[in-house]
Amino acid sequence: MSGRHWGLVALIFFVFYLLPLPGWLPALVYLGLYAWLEEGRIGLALLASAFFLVPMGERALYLDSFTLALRESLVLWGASLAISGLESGRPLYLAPLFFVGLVLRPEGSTLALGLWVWLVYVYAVQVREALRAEARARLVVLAFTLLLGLFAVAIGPIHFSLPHPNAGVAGQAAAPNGLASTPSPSNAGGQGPALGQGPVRVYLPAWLPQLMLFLGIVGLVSFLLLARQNPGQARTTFRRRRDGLWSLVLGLLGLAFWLFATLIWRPDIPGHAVFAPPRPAVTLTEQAPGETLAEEKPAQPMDVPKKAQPMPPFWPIAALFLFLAAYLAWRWRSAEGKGGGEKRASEPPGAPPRPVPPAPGRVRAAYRRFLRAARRVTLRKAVETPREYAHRFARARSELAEAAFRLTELYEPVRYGGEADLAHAEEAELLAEEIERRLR
Amino acid sequence: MIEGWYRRVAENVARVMVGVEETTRLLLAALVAEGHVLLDDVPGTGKTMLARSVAKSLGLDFKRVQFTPDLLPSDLTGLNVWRHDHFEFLPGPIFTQVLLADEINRATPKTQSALLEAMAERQVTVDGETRRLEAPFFVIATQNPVEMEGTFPLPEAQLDRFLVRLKMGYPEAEAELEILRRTRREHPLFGLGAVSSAEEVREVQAALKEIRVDDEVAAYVVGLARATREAEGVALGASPRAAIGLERVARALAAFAGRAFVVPDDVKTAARAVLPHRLVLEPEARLEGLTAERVVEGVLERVPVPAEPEA
Repeated sequence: MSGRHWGLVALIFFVFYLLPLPGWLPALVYLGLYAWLEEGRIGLALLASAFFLVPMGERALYLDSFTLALRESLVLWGASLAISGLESGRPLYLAPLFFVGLVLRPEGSTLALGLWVWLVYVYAVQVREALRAEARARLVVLAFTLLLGLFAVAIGPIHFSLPHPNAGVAGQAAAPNGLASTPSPSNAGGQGPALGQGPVRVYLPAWLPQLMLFLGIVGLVSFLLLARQNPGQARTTFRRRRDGLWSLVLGLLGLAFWLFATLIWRPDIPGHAVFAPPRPAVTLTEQAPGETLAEEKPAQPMDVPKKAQPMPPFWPIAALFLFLAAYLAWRWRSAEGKGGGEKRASEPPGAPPRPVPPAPGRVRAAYRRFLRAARRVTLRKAVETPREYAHRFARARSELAEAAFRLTELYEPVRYGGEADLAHAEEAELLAEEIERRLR
Repeated sequence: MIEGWYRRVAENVARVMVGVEETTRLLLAALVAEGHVLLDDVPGTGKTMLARSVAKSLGLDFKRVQFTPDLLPSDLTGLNVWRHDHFEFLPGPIFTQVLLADEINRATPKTQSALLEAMAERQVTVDGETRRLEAPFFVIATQNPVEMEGTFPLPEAQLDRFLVRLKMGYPEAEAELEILRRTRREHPLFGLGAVSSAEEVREVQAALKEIRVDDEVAAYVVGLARATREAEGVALGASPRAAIGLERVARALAAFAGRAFVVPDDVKTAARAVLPHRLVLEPEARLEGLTAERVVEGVLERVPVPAEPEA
């Protein structure tokens, strides 16, 4: 198995872990559609997944449904970026997924803060350059940041309290780490199934997850907007190879720490708390309107009646995830096969043997992205040379002529000259990204 | 190295010839690829002038032979004459480095075939004795496609030995005006100096072997040659020798462009010069107006180019 396939396994595991069980089906729909429809149709895939998500909520719980949809969208956006990153061999794109995961799991707040700082470092140059390059971007980012920040404060911290019509223990069932900090507006007033039926530990101050959420959304939105405006900027952040390596090492350390914290630390098992030592915890109980929300009690181990939990169809959905993983792996293999020397079934017996071309590298991958994006303008004919196609494309989109010619110029030595593509891979990817962005 | 040499020679030739840059490029490509050129056009379009300009620019020995029906093979190759007490070989004009065979189709097939051995083997056999021709040996033959009375069309075997066939065409009005200006006083050919040498040409020819041809591009070359054999209206398609020549010219064009590898565009450009004169069309197809050039264009529009799959 190649590194990309291991990455795929990690990705599927990650999505499994991040989402509450009822969110798996929409996630599966989303990822399946994303893989099927290919990049550029994220909106459609999200809509479809939302369609599967909405019936799970009850009418009185729109806000909780919405926050779940928001969380799920963030995870899926991160997942789609990760898929793109794996497909194009850019592990940096995995970073947003981990970041999203940390936002959704605020018990890893210490680590989240560290990673957030790292991301700020990574994208600081990008933000600065984008703002400098385009004044409009500044206003857009500012407006969205303020808006979403206010929204984040308004809806309260994220928690895994999927409103389930069938269970009063939905809060426990969907919150494997048993975290809840402050009640959300929907359950604070006692409407609907309350978050945290029964005692639930709170290890973190209420403001910390809120702050994390706010910072996370600010960071994500800024990144998303700027990446859409000029995706190439993210690449130029690492002008020096050493910076890229440091970032990668930091990211891997963060991931390892996060995995340790979330997989080994179990708050429902006494003595396993990593981020906060066992101490008297604030206990939340279901409250009638007007009553005090919390009282100090000694910490008690959480006793979740597991048999009473609703049982979503775990195995069928898990099997579907595995099927999806196999499908994606097959797609990549077949994509490699197209670039490789698979014998074509339609070849006549007398045809000369087709030589095995070299494995596609980053420049060739960038050129394929250009072809995919340029398909909207004009298709490349099979009898056209890359130069002929570049000329035809340039006639149709003269503003992209220079980028198309340069990308073709970088592609030819790799494709026909047997030259290693390391030297110009960065530039080719930037050009492909620029063309993709301007044709979007 | 080859790129610099090409620029130098082409610029020098351009001091005499106006508006024939592409023809010059292909002609020099044939020279570097160790082939021979057939210039096929009406009189007065500069065929002889181009050959002489190239020969002078390269600093090569140049001879011109006007082919006529009464030209004998020995007029070309030379002959042994009795001198006092022994035979002495008097070399013919073929013992040169650039031979201009003017109106080659006016000579008899016997004389034309005398060129065969020289062009293919780069050697001449007279009275059972074989003599090597000094490298580089480059034949530029011209023929007039209009006045066909009293001519002997070159047989297919002979045509196949010309690496490329080029057509000069009439110059553009502006270029023609420039030609008038240049030839008003003294013809620029007289003042044209050499910018290369036989030794350098040999080095360039040797360096051409270093130009890389990707396996898939080579397969494309073969695919084009094979496709001409299956094309409609073609009685005889391109030979394996044509495929070899196509690859060599493509290499030369790549080298002229400063590349160390061949791209499909080189092959396409070369195909238009290398393939058409080797095709023999069926008489019916010819009567219907099919030309070898159109067959080659059709083949280029059919054979897929090795490139990334369409997304």
